[in-house]
Amino acid sequence: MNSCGTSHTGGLTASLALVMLVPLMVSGCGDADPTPVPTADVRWAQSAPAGSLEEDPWVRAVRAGELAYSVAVNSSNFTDPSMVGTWREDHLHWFASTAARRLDEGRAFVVLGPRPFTPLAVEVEESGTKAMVVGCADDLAILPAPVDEYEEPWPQAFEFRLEQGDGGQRRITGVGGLSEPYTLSTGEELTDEYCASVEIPHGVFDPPPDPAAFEDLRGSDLVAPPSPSPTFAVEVPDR
Amino acid sequence: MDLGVLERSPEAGDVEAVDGLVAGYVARAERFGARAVAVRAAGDGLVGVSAGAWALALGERSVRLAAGLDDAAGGCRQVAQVLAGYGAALRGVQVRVGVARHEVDTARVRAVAARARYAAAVAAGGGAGVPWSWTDVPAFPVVGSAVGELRVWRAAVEDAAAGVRAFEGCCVEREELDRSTAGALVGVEVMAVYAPGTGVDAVVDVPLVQALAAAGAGVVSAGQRRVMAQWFVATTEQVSNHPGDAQALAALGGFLEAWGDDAEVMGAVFAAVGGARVVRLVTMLGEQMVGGGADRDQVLAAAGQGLRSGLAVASSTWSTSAAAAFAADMVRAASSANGTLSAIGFVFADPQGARMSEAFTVAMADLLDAIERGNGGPWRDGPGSPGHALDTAGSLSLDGGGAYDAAARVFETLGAYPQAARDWLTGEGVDWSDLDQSFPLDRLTYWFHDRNWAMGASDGLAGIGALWAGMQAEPGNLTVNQQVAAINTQILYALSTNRSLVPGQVSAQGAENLATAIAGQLPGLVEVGFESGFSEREIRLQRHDVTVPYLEEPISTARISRDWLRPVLTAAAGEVEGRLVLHGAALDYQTRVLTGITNGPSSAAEGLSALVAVWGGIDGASYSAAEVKQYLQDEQTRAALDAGRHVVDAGLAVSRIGPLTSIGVDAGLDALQKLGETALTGGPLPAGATHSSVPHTVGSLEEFFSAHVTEYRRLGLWDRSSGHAGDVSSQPADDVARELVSDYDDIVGAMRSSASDDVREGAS
Repeated sequence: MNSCGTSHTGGLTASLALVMLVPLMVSGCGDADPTPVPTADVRWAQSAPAGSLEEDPWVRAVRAGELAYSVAVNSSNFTDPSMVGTWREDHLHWFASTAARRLDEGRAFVVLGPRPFTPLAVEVEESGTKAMVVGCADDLAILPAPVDEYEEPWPQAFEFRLEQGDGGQRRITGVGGLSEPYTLSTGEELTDEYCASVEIPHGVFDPPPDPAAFEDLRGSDLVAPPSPSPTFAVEVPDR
Repeated sequence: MDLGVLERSPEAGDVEAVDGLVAGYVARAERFGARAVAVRAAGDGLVGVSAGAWALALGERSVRLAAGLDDAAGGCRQVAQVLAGYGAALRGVQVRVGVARHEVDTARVRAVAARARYAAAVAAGGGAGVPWSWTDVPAFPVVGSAVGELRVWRAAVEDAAAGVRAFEGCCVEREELDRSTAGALVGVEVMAVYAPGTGVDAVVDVPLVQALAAAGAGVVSAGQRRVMAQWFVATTEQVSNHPGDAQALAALGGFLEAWGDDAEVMGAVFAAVGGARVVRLVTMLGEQMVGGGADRDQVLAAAGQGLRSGLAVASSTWSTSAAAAFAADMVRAASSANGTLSAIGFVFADPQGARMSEAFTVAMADLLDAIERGNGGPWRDGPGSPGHALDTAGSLSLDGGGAYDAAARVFETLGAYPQAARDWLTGEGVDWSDLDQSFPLDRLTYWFHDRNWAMGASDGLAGIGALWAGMQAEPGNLTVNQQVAAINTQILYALSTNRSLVPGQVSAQGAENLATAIAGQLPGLVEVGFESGFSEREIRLQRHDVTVPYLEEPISTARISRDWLRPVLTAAAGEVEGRLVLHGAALDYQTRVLTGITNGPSSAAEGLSALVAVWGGIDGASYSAAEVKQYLQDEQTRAALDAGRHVVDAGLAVSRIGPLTSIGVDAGLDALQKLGETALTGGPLPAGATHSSVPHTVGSLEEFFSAHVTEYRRLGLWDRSSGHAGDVSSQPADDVARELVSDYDDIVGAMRSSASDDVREGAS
């Protein structure tokens, strides 16, 4: 996205050493201090999500992850433990990359609340370390309002894929519309049409986030996790 | 009589294999001879114009080399001669052995029969039979009445004995033949080289001779290769240090001409030369270019091409580590002086004619990747640098991608190795069947987003476009297609905001390569990209499975926002070369869809929607490209006139039906008409006798769709599955057509809406 290194367009000034170690940082070079990640209070329109599934550890991981994501977007900081502990690493980079680009292009948005979602089933793989939470999701409420040319149909039959790491932490590995047909325990097909009749609680942050906070920010001000391959070596054998 | 001797096999051996060996040695002799002529010619020229001690030394070397080649040719001829004699003699032995065995066998039959009749006669005469071997004289008194049988027996046994003697003769003959052949072969110098220290006894049978010949298939020994490599190194040094030395250059060219396709010789030669000398030599050759089509430029360019071809052949023999070492040697040399990096670009600049090996290409890509990302920016030379001059024979043309941007040329080559290219971007060992797989993006992001490929500084996206186009999907290979879909997702995201992706900065070749990459994923892009798209904030997976109208099984495609596709498609459509590729791919897609509607499994309604999407997407992007160019031109005009009084509304000049649509409509009408004729008659009607309801021409897109809906309905094809919104089966054709045209307009609008806005923002 943006690089902090000095650009060299001429020849290499230094000859290549025996082993060349090239540290690569995705970000962290902004001068501005990162906006601290605030503690977010969520006010629910009618009632907070409830039900036995809410106690399921996989569903709790989904809730924690979506909350952390919204807060991370609003604070332009994707390094908080709440985020790092609930999303697989590649998502942290992806979210940071897209958010930084939005800042650079003047189309940054704030998220008004965590993604509205009603879990309907949890499928845990035999190993016990991977699971899929399926249910109905509604569009993420953002400000300024989106100007998508192609509007996805909401609400949608939705799935969260998760995995449990060695440390026991459950992280989200993938999110999206249902990838394969799913039949609920009631025998009904989980479809977008089905979701139209499912109640999906909506919650908003209180106080609401202010999009004006982004006005002076550039992509380089965003706090991103360090690159997944911070160092790599290229061997240039000496003769 | 010792019958045990018959168990030996003096006829063993494959005469045809020997004939093959003879032919092989004759061919080798000719090859050596031809090379000797080429090298001697180069050397003779050198000595004739003798310009100093070094030239004499070089001449001597080439004379020695030519003499060595002559010796090798002579040796091969001798081997051929010896083996030809061996083959002929062996054939004779085999015939005689066959005769002898036959003689013994028939004599045995006769003797045994005679013995039986004799024994019967003895028994009939009251005598007592005693068992006896058919080869021995009977041990009982001769019965008078059976004397005749005994005579027959005796004659037969004599014949058998003669046969055995002949057989024994063959055995001796064969031993002699093998021994003398082995002796003759060992006497040939070239044979001693093949199997140094091999004693006579080890060469006495045909399989071993074959094995030795196979081991020598490299034609020259390691020692001889060393000699040649040393000569080559010395000659390259000479050319590098004395670039004006035409003779040395000719000698080098002659050598490469003679040996350039010999992988082992090239491998040995370039291992001795090393990457640094190649960089130096290419730089020196390029610096000698004077331009203007001078004869000398052609000679230099030919030498450069010979060197490149030889290196390509050599690189095919390298292990991964050898390739990495050579690449590192080149990079180290290229980093020591300005302009020398273009030598690396030159080496990789002809992937069609002289393609560096996969291992070498990957190794070079790794190095350039580490250097550029380590430095935080491009590392390249400019137009006119030595490698560029040499690659274009001094013309400094910018067509087809300049050698001055080495990374572009390396990537172009990498695109010719699709799986290596994919794995280079994603890393290996990813289980692509997992929908939520991922791969580190920093490498892809740098090269497709951060890196500037604009014309002038680079090649206008030709090289990186070739990399992308080369790695596109292989129909039917699920795992590859899943990996490709994930890569395409990230490349479209990265490329869409690359600053060099602006019409005018993209070269014709760049546009064509981008279009080829898009064409390679068109069926998926029609579904996600043209017809619909994800909003960026909802993209948390890297691929999406979609149903294509003419396919039974879903395919994996990139999970993208239309905002990402639009600028890339616009850039591809911005040059006529790119548009041609896109139109070709779209018409191919259209044919599949229309065929799918007739023959299944396409739904007619979904098929028409797909046509709408592919036409609208490509036409919309073509408008955008035209508008962007118009805008940039206006900017220039405005700046020139210093007044903003002439702002052209490019949209006014754009007709309602876009260029692709007008082509597609023609093809679609044609297909529909044929379909109607076939349905009515079971075969095509004679010209002018059609009863199809399809008009020959249509005045508008609405008419076109209306005609299709009407015709499909008449043929019972209309919407066999209900994929379209609403109950289209009872809807008037004109209404359906209006909806489709409205969809078309939407998609054209989506593809053209903000592309020019991006430029305005960038330009302001």
